Amino acid sequence: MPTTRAGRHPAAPATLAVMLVLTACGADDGQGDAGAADMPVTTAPSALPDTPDAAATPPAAAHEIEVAITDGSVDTAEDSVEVALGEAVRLTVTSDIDDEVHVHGVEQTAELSAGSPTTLEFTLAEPGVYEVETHESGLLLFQLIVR
Amino acid sequence: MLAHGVGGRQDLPIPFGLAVAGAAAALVVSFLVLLMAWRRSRFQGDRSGRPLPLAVSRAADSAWMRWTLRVLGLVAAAYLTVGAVAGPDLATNPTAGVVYVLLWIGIVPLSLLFGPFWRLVNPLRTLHLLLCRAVRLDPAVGMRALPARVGLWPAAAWLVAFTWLELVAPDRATLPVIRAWFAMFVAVMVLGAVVFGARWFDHADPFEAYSSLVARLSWLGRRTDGRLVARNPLENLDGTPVRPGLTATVAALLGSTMFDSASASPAWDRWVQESAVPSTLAGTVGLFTAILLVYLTFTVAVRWVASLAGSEGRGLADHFAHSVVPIVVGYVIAHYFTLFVLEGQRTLVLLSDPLGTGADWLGTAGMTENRWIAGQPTLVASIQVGAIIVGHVLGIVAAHDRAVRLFPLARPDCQVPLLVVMVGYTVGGLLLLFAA
Repeated sequence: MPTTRAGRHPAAPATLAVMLVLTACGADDGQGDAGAADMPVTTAPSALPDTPDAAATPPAAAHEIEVAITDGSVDTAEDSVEVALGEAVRLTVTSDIDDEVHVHGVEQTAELSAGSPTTLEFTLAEPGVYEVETHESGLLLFQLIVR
Repeated sequence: MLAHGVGGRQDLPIPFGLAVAGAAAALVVSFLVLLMAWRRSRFQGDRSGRPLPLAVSRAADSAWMRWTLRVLGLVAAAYLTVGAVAGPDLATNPTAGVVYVLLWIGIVPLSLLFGPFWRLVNPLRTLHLLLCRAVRLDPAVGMRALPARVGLWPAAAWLVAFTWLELVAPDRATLPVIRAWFAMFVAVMVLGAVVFGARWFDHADPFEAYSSLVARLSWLGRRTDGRLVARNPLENLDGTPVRPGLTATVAALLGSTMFDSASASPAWDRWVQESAVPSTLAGTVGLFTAILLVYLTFTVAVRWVASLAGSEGRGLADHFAHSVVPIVVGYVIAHYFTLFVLEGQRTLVLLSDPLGTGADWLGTAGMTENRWIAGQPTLVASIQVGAIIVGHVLGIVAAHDRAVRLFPLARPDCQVPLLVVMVGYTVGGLLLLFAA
């Protein structure tokens, strides 16, 4: 069964966006500013229904990366993955042994149980190069290049 | 965390255009120096400099100042030992950060600012001094004389040993490994000092050797008459004592930094991961190869220059090795300055609680880390390339002046082999910043 450690993270920005929209709405109430008034009308219908499901269905913008580990050998599409600063990363790791996956340099860690894919979602706030590795087997899975 | 040394994020690769521009600048400046620079040696080394006020010179050399610095070194070492011996072996233990970041990288800025400071605070030197005082022996006199040909060779060997610990040793950020290395190091240093007297530290202590060499690029120096002077860093560099093993020492410093950035590349990691060679063996071979490569290219280049100049080239490399020091400093700034700023602050925070009890002994536990620099990749890349280029230019100028002094009658183009090798180090450094 997939473990979604950071599964709740995508919900946070969505909720925040909705709150901002509502606040803006309240502040502009009765002011008759056409530009500002248009905003909540167009965004609210699409943003609001999504919110309860956000934990289950991540935003389409998330950068998907899949890694499989078999017999201590790493199978990924690329050794270096470039993502934009602030872009969500959705990492799915499947290992043939119990292990722990870790994004070095940030506090992002998830347990891997043998044979079942584990998904980790995160956003990196600082540009730089981050190594994604396993702790038990000590493997480098790939490098994340955040620009 | 513990699988690595210290540090989490790494700097972004520099833009390709910047790497090419830097390489081109290095090449052009090098040949301009060769063609246009002076033909008679200008530098006067330790005879040069503008004296600091006598009061400053006297205060710096006073017994109370010397003892204050020694006590400072001892207290800092004792404080660090508490965390290293009794603290928990976790990523929150400050020991690895203190050794690899505050001490090892911090030596560079402190030596640039204050000169060869590690000699003055070196806790092992003080320990030896106190031991000698206790048994009423002169610390300067050992049981044996150290042959002159020993020079800096022991320090070079210890630099290799330290960089091996820093970059290759398995579990190098964990306490048992750091403790074991330093236990051995302290034992050999103190034993050596007992046998050969305090001058052993001048020959063998890697931190003193590093600090004293980088201090040769400082604004601060000591004149031949003992007076403290402010001087042009190039003059200072020219005064670097020529000793056997100097080339090996600078090769260890430059080669290990090259290896560090090469081994941080995904290509290296992937290769080690997929080959049957154990990673410690691969790392050891890689580190030694990088150091040997610098040593051999430099030695061969100097010998070639000498033969073009019609001279016997044996042992001349040590006369030119000082010119690699600015290249080393440029590399160190380029590769480690963000790590120093970011991990240095983190280490300061951790340092308040070495036992992991929630203590705040130094009042730094609640310090907010300033991570501004991490969000400035363009500025960082400019500083990196700038440091490499400035280091290169200083190195070229230092080597040129030495060449015209040693071979006054030779044509300037006899320097080309050395120039090519130095351009190679610089372009290599830029490539590593671009690719790793």
